[in-house]
Amino acid sequence: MRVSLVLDGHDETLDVAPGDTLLDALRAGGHTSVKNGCANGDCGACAVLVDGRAAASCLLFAAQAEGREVTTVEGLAGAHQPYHPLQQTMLDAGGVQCGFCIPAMILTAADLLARNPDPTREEITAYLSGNLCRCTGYVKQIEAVEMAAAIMKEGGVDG
Amino acid sequence: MADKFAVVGNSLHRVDGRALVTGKPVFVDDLPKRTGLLHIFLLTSPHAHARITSIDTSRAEEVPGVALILDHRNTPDRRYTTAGQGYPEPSPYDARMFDTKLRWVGDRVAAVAADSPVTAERAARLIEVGYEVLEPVLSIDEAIAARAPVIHDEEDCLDVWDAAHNIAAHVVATSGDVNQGFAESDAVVEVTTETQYGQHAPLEPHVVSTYLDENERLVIVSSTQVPFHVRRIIGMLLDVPIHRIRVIKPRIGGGFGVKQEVLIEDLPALVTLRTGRPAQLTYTREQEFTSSRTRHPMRIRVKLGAKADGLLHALEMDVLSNTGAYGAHSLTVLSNVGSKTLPLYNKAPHIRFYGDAVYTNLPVAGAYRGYGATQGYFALETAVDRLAAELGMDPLQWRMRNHIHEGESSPIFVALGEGREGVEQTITSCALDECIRQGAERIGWAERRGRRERHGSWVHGLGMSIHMQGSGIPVIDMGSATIKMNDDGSFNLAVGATDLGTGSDTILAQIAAEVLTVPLEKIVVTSSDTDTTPFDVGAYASSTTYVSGMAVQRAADEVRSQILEVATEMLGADRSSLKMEDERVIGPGDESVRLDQVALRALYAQDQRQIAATSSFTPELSPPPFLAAFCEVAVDEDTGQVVVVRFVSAVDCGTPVNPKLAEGQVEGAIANGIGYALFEEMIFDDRGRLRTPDYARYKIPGPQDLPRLETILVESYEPTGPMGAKSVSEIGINAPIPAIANAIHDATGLWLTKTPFTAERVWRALQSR
Amino acid sequence: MSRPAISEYLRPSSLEEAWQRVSSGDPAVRLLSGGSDLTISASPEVTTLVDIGGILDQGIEPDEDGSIRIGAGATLTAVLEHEALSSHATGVVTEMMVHVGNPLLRNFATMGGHLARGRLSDVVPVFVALDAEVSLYRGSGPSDMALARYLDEHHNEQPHILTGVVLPGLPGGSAAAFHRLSRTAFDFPILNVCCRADGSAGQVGDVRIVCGATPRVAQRAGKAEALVVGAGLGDDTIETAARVAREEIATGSGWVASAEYRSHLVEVLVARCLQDVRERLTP
Repeated sequence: MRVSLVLDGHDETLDVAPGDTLLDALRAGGHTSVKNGCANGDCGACAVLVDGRAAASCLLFAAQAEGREVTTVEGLAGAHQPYHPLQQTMLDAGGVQCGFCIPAMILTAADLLARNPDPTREEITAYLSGNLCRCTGYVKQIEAVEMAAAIMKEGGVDG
Repeated sequence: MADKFAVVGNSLHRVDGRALVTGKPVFVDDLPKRTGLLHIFLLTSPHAHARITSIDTSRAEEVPGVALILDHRNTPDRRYTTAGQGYPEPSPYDARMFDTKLRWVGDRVAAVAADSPVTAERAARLIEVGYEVLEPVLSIDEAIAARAPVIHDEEDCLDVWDAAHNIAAHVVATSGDVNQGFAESDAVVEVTTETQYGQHAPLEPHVVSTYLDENERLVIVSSTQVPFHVRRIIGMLLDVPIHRIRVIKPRIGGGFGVKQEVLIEDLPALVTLRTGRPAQLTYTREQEFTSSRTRHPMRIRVKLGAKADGLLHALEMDVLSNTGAYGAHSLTVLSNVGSKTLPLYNKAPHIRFYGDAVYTNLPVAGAYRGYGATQGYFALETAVDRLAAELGMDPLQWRMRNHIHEGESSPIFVALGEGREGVEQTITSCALDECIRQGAERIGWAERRGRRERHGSWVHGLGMSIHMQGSGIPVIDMGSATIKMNDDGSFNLAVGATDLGTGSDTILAQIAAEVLTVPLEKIVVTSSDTDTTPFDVGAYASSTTYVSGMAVQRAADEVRSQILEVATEMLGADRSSLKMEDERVIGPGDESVRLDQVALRALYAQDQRQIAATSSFTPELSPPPFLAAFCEVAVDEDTGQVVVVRFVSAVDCGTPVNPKLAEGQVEGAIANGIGYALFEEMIFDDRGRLRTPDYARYKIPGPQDLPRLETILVESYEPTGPMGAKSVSEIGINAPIPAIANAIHDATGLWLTKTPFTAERVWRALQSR
Repeated sequence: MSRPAISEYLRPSSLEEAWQRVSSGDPAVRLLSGGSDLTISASPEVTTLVDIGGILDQGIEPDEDGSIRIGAGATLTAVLEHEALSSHATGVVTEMMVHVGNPLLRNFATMGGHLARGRLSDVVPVFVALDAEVSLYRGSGPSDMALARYLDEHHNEQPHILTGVVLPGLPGGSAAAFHRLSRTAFDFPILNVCCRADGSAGQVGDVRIVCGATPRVAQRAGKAEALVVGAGLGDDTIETAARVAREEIATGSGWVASAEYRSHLVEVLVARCLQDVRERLTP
């Protein structure tokens, strides 16, 4: 079956099987920044933005994306070319180790900052609670979100 | 010390950072799929202990799209070890690609290669297997019981210590006479600890992709920590000359030791060799738990004897390690339980270490960050707190008095290496006193310990522990590096070293950039490709910064001297009068040439040659990093729940080449250690089946489960390391269990001896208080 | 993970149309709203998905009588973030909802899908304590029934489409509290408890004491409730009620916790909930 959606800002039509998850469809379509860490909704590595909200793409059927706007880290930068502030601060803060969880972590944080431009540390921690990372201990990733919030407020840009 | 460096000592961005934050296709499964790719499905044993009496693959073979089915009848029958170690591997040869005997739920039965993953799985379900189910051995006690079923009764296994009694490996090391030592001691304590099955749980599961290149050489693209060992072991196993194999490690999504294993490369490799088609095997998360590697569960008894003045006099450690169904890393992890812990307290003249690693019909244990030291420190560092209590001393003061210092040695360094005798070693850098001082100050040790602050049913306590690890395996590990100069004064750095997410590509580039006086972006790193990079044993044993880093420094020194040679001709000055600074060679009168001018002359103009060098390094020593950990816990006396409120780690890793990356290594290790201390646990049913085969049931820490981890880098200068650096990646994981256990004691008076410290377990202990 | 057995994906444009596909009770046909549960647990026999995400009511509507109607299509995040729910029964729904899954799940999991699965849940004990009623569609206008009864009797028995849930208005001065214990923050509960009391601390009207994850999804502690109704929320009563609840609530053992420990937690968490309720009630 065919699914029409706006993917990273472009109108796209995906050819999928009815039982394909959004994760399957995105990876098959070359959007390999969306990672498969468990296919069970437990690790968060497959997170994408669906109509601006972070979602575990392994828990959505591809067909559920019909008519929606789906954003991966490949299309996140948008107005922030070349990099979204979170992509920059994740490096500045030293929040990246193996990097497997990072695209999803950045997207989830982008969802948070779009709705809550000045989150507390506790709010950041809570909003990232579905994004597992085995390398870091989260300290620097949470700092990166704080740093990005500060930059985005200063620049008057929204997520 | 770091301020004397320009590049080293700075928290520069990772060289692969941009690619990672923009989601570039850099992991094995992200790479473009080749035409004709075969997907492999692995059929595994439903029984903990069984023999295959019959296997019928005929129905599966008829499924359209199935290209090949592998089982014990059509695969090599030689015994080998999956442990990705140096040659000859110090692990028993007790495994086969496919065996007729199955030794754990998750052991290999057959593999199906087909056009699609769905077809491969559907066909695999049609394989009919007859099993003779055998009595399983599901614990250490069952393994060593009289008349226990023999797990490795095959006649062709090699280097098993005592197969008839399920003992895979055995280690003894002594110095002095412990019996005499305890008799002479004024205070003696004894503690027995038990640790559970745990899994590395890297976010990226094992994945391997293989194909034949245009010259029909076998290319293996693998999420591995040990590409050169993969090449050698696959070559041996599948009878392919090493020159016909190329192993590439792209970015990998975490390893922590589980990828120091030639776990699945053989399957797609053999499929590709037999069919000529590309093949891929990607473990599911469930297989990553059931059919991968784990941490060795252990039971450890430690006995300490001290004189009345507190000085340690006798030290004894007995270890029973559960290596699971196969003995990969069984001997070396067992050795490390003692060799990475006992030298820390070098004042005792009487030491005895004794250990057995036993087979069970449970998942195979392997290399896991900490590599035995994690289990050893639980016993040792909680015993130390008990001893200090017995002596009426502050455990901090006791440790200050008894730990090893710069200029000192320990008889254990010689008596116990990794699977064999060790090497004599004197500590050449140790800032442990300063680590203890700074950590204690940060947590408020003097003011807050022993206060039992109470908030409702929650009571708080402080605990500490101290640790050492190593930096590579002396006289065994080897790293090498090639550096060549380009026209524009940039350099290619090729290393066999394996960045598994640690940032070692960046660390090694920083070392090269420092020597060559260029900014980091002028060092182009290529790593972990057996065709294009020089040999390196790989990423394990905390070796990369120290061992591979020294190889890089040597190669850079050699290149630097070639540059100076050319510059001598250009500047017409005496070579000894030249210095290098900011991408220039400067003469005695401040006249200078830029590095790109040097390169252009060497490549195009005069006496042309490629400025390049390859160097290697094999360490004579393994200088330990040191760590002092301080933690505050809150224990809910009503429910038994334990919360880590603060965790402070003060670490001496020599010169931190990249401080943020070093902190990240410590934080990640502490986080993993806190998870293992409190809730991570593989739980089996009474038939050996795993009940926790996913992240929903095997919990690893999420952001809300950790305090804001505090890391203090306490600098020292290791004279034998690259620019003073030692290792940092493993040591942190050893700290949480004992620091938390000691803090729980401070809060409640309980000595916990079994991990994980779950709410129910702590509640039961509180009940019996 | 891809579900190759699924060969048909339908997007009915109305409840009537959806009903035609599910009314026979064919186990090969499954309703889908948020998707999160089905992608994990779809059995191989499922061949047809009926996506009603687009036609379910997604609204959350407070009524003048103090009741709140939550459409089955409302996401758990919408419930968590809704103003009216943050003040209903002293905010117990919000207090609970932060523990359900994590944002990546809550953003798309729907209330209808969550209640219809009828398994281990933090939502259910709270909603039972708030006397929630579910609306079911069976081909004609919705029929309402208590959530507790739905879970006991009707869940997965006869074909139905869960279209919404109503939290009825509570007498002024109602207070509720929720406590749970789990290994990590994002984890299934080992045990959870929700208590609600109407009236004031001295003069308690109606009381609900509901335990979940025992491992049953929700059990009411009727004897303990009766005890509190009679005696109010003094320290002694709370202690006794917690002990009575422990005795009357059946618990089971699993690999994550023993029945004995769960029973102990019933006592501890009931007491904590009742203490919180007392503090939240007007004196």
